[in-house]
Amino acid sequence: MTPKILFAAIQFNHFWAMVLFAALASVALASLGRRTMGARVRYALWTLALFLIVGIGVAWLMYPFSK
Amino acid sequence: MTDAIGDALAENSGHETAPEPQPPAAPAGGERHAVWLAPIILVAAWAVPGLGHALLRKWARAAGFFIAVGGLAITGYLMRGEVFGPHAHESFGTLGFLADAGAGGFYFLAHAIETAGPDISRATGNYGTRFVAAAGLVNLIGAIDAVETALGRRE
Repeated sequence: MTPKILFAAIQFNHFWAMVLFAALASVALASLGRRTMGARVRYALWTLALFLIVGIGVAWLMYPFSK
Repeated sequence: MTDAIGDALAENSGHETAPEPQPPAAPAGGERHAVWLAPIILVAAWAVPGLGHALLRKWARAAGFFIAVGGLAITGYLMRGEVFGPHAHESFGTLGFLADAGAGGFYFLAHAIETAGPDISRATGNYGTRFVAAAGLVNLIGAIDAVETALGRRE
């Protein structure tokens, strides 16, 4: 399965774009900021959670102004 | 007796024995490599994300940067994000080019993956533009980290 077919198969909406961006950015930040594998995994999960919480929180706050 | 007097005189006169030469202190970070290696590490890390760390045998960090930069760049291309060329007509286009070109080898894969060209008339294409720029910036940070590691400033 090529990436393009895979990309079309998953319904790639804004939410999943945000999740993917957050996950990849978390991997980069964890690789940069922590030196042991365990610490990297914990830091990546923590960063991912913060990305999602802040992203959804900001989207929720902006929702009344979108209409 | 004479030794004791001599010591007392030396102490009172303020003269101190010369300190023994100390070996140079080890760098605060990790292992230090030859300085001439730094430019090679920089170019390698830019050209192939993670290669700079791989040359330093930092395998996990190399894999992390390759996955992050490759994932961001390829996703951005599949979302039909805009990839800026070197001959931009405005300053933001130049900034966009500098950010995009930071992805190294993945920058040159843009035309192969994004065969239909960019489509920023939809939000997905706009998101893709940010993915591509983020890939380049993450790779530049990774290249700097690899050089710092090679110079012994980081572990």
